[in-house]
Amino acid sequence: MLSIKELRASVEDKDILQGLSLDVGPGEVHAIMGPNGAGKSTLGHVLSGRPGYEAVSGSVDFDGRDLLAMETEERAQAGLFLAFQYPVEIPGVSNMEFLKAGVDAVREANSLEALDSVSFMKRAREACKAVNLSVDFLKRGVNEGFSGGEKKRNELMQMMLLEPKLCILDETDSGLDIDALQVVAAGVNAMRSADRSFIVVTHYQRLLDYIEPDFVHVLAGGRIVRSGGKELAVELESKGYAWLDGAA
Amino acid sequence: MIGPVFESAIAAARAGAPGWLRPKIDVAAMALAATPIPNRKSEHWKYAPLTGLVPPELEAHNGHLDSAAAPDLGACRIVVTRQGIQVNGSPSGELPSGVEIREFSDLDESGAARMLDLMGSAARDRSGIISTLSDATLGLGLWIDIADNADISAPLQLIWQQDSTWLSARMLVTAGRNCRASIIEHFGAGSLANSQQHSVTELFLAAGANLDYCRANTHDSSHTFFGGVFAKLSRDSTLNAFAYAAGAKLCRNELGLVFAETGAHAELNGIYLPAGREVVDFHTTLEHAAAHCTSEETFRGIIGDKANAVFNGRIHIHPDAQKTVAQLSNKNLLTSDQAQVNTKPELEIYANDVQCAHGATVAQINDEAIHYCRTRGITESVAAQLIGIGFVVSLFDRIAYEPLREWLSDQAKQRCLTLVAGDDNE
Repeated sequence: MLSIKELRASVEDKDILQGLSLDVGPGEVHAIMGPNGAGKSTLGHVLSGRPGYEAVSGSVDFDGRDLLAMETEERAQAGLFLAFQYPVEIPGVSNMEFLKAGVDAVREANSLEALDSVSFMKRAREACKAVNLSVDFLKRGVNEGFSGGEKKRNELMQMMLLEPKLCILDETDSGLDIDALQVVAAGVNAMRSADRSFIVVTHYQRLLDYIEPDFVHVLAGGRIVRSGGKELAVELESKGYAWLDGAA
Repeated sequence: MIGPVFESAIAAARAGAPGWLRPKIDVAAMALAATPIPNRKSEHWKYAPLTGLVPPELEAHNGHLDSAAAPDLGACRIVVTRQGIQVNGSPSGELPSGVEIREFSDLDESGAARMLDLMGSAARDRSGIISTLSDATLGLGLWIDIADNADISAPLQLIWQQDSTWLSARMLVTAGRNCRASIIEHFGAGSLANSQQHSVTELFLAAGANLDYCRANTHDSSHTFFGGVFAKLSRDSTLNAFAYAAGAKLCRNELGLVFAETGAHAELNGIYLPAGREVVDFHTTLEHAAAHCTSEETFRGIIGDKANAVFNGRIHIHPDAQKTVAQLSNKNLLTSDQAQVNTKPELEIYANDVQCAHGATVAQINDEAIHYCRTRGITESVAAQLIGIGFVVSLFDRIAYEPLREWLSDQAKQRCLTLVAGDDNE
């Protein structure tokens, strides 16, 4: 599914990722944890193709394609989805219009027939229900005036409608209360399948109580310094990151 | 001087005008002969000067029918030609009950006297040039009279027949007491290349009248347009005006509203979308001359390429206009580094018990929003179109008549594509 090899990336001439390697197989859930400034969010941005986040060297293979050579929208059309840590507000553009444009573009790129408005609306309503958002949110401007939790749930709703192959959740749990966290986790779990993979970036082990990862990685100093099973997350929670310094 | 530029248009107006109108043409022509062409030093023209103005060509292009390009809005279509008016495609077509339409060439003595009395009496443009030019070159003149208490459901859609690259249209609307009506004027589409159009519309709202008026300018970059919409609002009347200007070589509209009696309300909304090297200029003036009147004015523009937009919104609250509530907002979105907007709200307040708010902003398309869309599979150009249309779309909701709202927002969507794609030839 995704194979990152020796990825180096810089932001504003500052080296953030320093030889990161990671393999994600189909259906796997990988959790990435690590201290502030380790490069967790940068990884998500580089993979999604955010301007200003330059891959300097290394390679990223996504489903047999050179991800780094693809435009941002091509990555999305190929099935990569990034749930933003800070979703962007787009005033005046209704959520509905935005979602339809995204779904249309992804379907078109995959030679699928466009959904008619009725079936799209039906799916959108179902997705709203699944993340416990009122359908009124479909009519509102994209993230416009949404609370932090509503924005995160809106990200998840988009993920459900776009049906990606690889979902990257960038600190989707930050700023969520326990109820919202459970809603988000339930949404992710419902989407888990044998051919859909997840990279869950988080600060806290808490989320991993609800989304059970197959692998846990510790990202520090721009590299994966330790990998293990879900028990690693528990260990990190009790010991913090300081004990890893030697390993890095 | 402006006079010589329009010499042939003035001569044609004089030759074609009914006798009662000729003295007015002569007076205006004399004024134009003494009026210098506005340049960058002219206060009201400095961002869109007329120094490049060329004389219009009046030669008729036989068979050219401008009306064919007018959108089908399910309205009552009124085509104005030199040979008379056609309603819904027929010279004998029926007007809605309560509406009377007369061409200037077809007026009796009392009608002519009424027109002379009303022309220019609502307001004039700030420099006076647009109004004077209209008086001097008046080619097609029309009086629409809406009876007291008339309730006209389908809008009247005015289509000015243009058979050369020149048009000078003048329309007066007298909206009777407590009537309700809607008027749409559309300029530009289907016009011959290098057309020059001139249009002044004067709206007189009697007490309690409720009038919707829309002026849509959809020109191409070879067209020049000067226009004015001037309205006088009597007691408790309501005007809901909408102006749309896609772009043109120069598209200048001056909108002037006079709140002459107490309790009147006006909403004035506008959208401008110039691209390429186009210039769109809106000057608006709200004269609050009576107490207890309210106005709400919102203009939004998206400016692309090397285009230039001008917005000057003046609110003048007279000493007697206590309890006025006036709001003015102008927001602009630039989609290129070389696009320009000159926006200037002007407030002059001489009453002490009023609420008056104004604001103007200029912004660029948010790169983060574009990126966010792209991460959802949406291409950059579609994303920019979505964001652009999102910037102006809320204003379309203020148009009550649905077919007009749909048509204009479709026009704007198309236009947004051009605005974000840029002009490679520039």
